[in-house]
Amino acid sequence: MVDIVYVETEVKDHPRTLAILKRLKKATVVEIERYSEVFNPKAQNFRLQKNNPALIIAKKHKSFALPAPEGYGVGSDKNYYFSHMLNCLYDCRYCFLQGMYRSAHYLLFVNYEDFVSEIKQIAQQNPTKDYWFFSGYDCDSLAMEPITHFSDYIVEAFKDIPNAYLELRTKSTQIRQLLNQTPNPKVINAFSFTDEYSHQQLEKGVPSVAKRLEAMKKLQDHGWVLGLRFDPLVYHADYQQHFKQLLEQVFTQIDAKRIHSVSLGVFRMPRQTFKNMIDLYPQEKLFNQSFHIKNKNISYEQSREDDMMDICSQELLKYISPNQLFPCLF
Amino acid sequence: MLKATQQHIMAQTTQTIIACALACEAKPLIDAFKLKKITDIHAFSVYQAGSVFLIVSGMGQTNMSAAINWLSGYLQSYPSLFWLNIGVAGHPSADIGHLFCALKISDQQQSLYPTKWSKHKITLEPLITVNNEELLYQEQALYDMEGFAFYQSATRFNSQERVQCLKIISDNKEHAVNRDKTYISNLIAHQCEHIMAFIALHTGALEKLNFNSNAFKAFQQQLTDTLHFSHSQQLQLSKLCQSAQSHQIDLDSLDVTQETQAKNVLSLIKQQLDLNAVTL
Repeated sequence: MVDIVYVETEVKDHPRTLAILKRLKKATVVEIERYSEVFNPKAQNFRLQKNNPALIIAKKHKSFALPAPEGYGVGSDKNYYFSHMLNCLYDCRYCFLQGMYRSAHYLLFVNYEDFVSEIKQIAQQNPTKDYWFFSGYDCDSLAMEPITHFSDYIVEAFKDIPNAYLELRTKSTQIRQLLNQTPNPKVINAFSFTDEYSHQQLEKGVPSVAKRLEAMKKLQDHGWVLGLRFDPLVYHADYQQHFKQLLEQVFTQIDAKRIHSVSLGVFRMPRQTFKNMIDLYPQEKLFNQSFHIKNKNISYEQSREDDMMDICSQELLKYISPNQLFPCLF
Repeated sequence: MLKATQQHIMAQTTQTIIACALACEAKPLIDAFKLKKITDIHAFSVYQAGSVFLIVSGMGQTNMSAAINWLSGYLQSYPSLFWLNIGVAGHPSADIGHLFCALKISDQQQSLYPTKWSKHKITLEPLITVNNEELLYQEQALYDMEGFAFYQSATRFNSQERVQCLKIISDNKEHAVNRDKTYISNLIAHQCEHIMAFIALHTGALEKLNFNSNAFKAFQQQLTDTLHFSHSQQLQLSKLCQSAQSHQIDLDSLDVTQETQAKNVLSLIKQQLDLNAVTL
């Protein structure tokens, strides 16, 4: 899976590091002082590195959980996100990670306990309120599971935080660890989808829609709570028809009534991140569509955005109730 | 096979820049690529054929830094470069003649980390650059006298993916340092095929990044040479050219030769873009 593993001196003897290295026997291991030596240098080309990213094993020292952007969430007003890993196994052309970091290496923080400790502190600020913690913002929550065993740890940890909910957002089919666990009703496994055409055009390395639905069905049958994330909606000439087909495919296999939440959002991006992405892929058709700038973000023209949200919401409401639907408003 | 790889490399629009410390290290590469000395350059010995350049820096970090800095200036008009340091190195136990690629390059104070972004199969090993010949080989690493300076200097002007170091073992604990020129040349010559394959793999991938952009760059250059573009108009032109690539607009169809003002050129390209709406 990776040729090279960089390991920070501080965590080289961490039990999780040792376990990961055991799983990656063929990889060349390089000891480093701090991950920033490899991850942060300016003169890096994300696109070239994406051909063969390395794994960096490191320790995170602060800011384990951060407030989620305004409008991000599925019903609560206490929303935080956290990232045990930066960068993703997949290569989705619409993903903001391409314009976010200089390096495409996978940066894994192995001190999972420190994440949970800060999450507990945040949740204790108001024990009568529900707090939501979103994983999968800067990485895919499950894609590297065979190496990281992250879900094993984090799902168990959330059992001890009564007012904390966890979203594991993913496009992965790596669900073996979850199937070996007792489902935790406060953990939502949220699967992201784009329609089949966008998937073919833009999602390199991502399992097929059919494979993801197969994984979702196994999890639902096992008793796990699921979420659906149709985000981003990507405009193309036949998007309405393709979205309709996608929903038919999804709800033929997944029990809509047992879906915790469905979120919906069109392709959007911070302006600077978008500029970085164009620099990397100047010829990408997705980036050369017509966009407008709103509040330092780029997205489709307002009328197109409104149409897409209206049309797709109406389609979704044929299967789910309005209280399951959460449009992304940021 | 060797000839086909050599011809392939030399036809690329990405320029391959090889830096060697010693003339005897360079000789087999000059022969393999049929390089000719550029006679009007006197600061360093520089050779070229097609898209391959080779510079002989002289021994040590100061010489190597100077060579790379000088050559970077000389080659600044080329948009896509691939830099490669090739030379001999010591190692405590590796076999004489074995080829390595540096994955960590250190001097006494600092370490740098070249990116292995291709799937090449050359053995990876840390490289330690020292100021005097290493006789103790204390660490399980390659020892040379220029690698750090090469990498540090070349990555000042290029992304680190475009800079790599290949080393061939000339001495170890059982075989003392041997500075015989023929011995060194033979060591390099025996690895020429692998070196060429390494270069072809990397320049081939870099080529995919810049094939179109070179054509559009030339188009831009032609326009800015003939008409006055303000700075913001130049930026606008650059963006429009990028879009034009995505819109698959044929450069020949952009007939701007009659235009006498930059703003008219920009609006003409915009019109073409509007006529050729991008669909996913």
